Amino acid sequence: MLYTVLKSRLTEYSRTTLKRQFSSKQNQYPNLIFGIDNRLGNDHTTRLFLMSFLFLCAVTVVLLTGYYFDSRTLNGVPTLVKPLKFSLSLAMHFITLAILSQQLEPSRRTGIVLTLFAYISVVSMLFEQIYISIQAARGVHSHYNTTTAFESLMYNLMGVGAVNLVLVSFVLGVLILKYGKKDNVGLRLGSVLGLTIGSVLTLYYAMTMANIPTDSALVGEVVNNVKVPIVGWSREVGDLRIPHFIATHMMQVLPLAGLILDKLKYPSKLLVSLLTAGLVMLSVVSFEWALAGKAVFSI
Amino acid sequence: MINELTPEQLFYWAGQASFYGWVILIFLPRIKVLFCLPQYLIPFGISLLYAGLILVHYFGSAGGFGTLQKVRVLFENDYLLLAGWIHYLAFDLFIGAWIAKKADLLSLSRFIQAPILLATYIFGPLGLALFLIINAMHSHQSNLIKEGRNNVIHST
Repeated sequence: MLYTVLKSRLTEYSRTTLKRQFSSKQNQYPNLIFGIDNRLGNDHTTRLFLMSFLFLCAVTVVLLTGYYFDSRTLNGVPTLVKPLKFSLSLAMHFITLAILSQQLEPSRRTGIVLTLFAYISVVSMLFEQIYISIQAARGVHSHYNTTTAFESLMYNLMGVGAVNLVLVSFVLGVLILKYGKKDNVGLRLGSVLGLTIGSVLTLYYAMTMANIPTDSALVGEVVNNVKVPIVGWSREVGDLRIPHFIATHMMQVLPLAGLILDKLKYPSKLLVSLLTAGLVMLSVVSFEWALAGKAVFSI
Repeated sequence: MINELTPEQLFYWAGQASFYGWVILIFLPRIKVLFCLPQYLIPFGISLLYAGLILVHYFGSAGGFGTLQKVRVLFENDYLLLAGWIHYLAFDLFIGAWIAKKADLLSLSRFIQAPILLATYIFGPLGLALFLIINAMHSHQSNLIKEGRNNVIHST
């Protein structure tokens, strides 16, 4: 008797009070300006990706003010350039995840698999972005920094974080392959290929970059420190950040190409496949060149 | 009574109080009774302490707020330095609670709230700037319009 009363009280409590504290009603969400979430689903996974995107945009703005005041340099580049590059590319990563995850049914999107990997990736993103920003503000390296025991531990943890960040895109690619909507052939194929191949290649290049003995992304002896504007790739020695860039941004390029080809009613399946092959080859060639110490933009 | 306490002792107490407030904001569930502590009780307590210190010590000091030099003179007095510090503690915590409340309305994940609140705790305005940018990207208005429209539909 007492047991049933207690049990019903407890279920009632968990149904009302706990729910009120730990989850929000969907229709309570304020809209983003640009009405972006009128087109995107208003579920917690999409929301998480979108909020990560907004957080990274905010970090970018704050870093830009710091960049304006800072006259220090590290390896000939202003110290705050690195966290800026990371916040921009991570923002792009998360908005891509938010948009591409719309190809899944809401139930699948909020299912255990994607929710789990989404949370893991967000926590990793916060860790990476905050650590890189703090190290840059201190005027020291974040990657390849093993000066203290703490910094080398953090460097190793950043490796784990980076794996988590591409893991979510790989998982999303596989989920779209298995359960994605089939109405946009090019978009679907581009998403699947971009997310899976892009993740695998990114991981492979990043791991090579972490394990080369020079303790930097460059292969060869830097003399004049000539660089490609904005991205800062070396124009005189091999630079492993180039294949990394191509592989990572395959995740945006291929779905976008697929979407555009679908709209133009071109044979999107064939063209997306060709584009994929081309980008993979480009990244492999630039990878081999970088390992051989050749600069891609040497002309 | 206050004169018997050293500035160090008061500094420690105020720091502890604000620390617990921040722990509540960052880690604990948002329960009304609990939330009152960082939102009102702790900032109010620190504000009272500030008021006491400033009333007793400000007018005896040669410093002022007009120039940076005058502020430097002001902070040569340990009690006024302490007052300046706990001013940060009280206001940062109050702002932190405001951020937490607004962020809940935006359904900002607690994982993303945590670093923003931590930034507000350590470097007040930096965290506030981060949150204001996120907040600015939302429009409450469009939602209100939609709700209003729904109400009209229901009433007719």
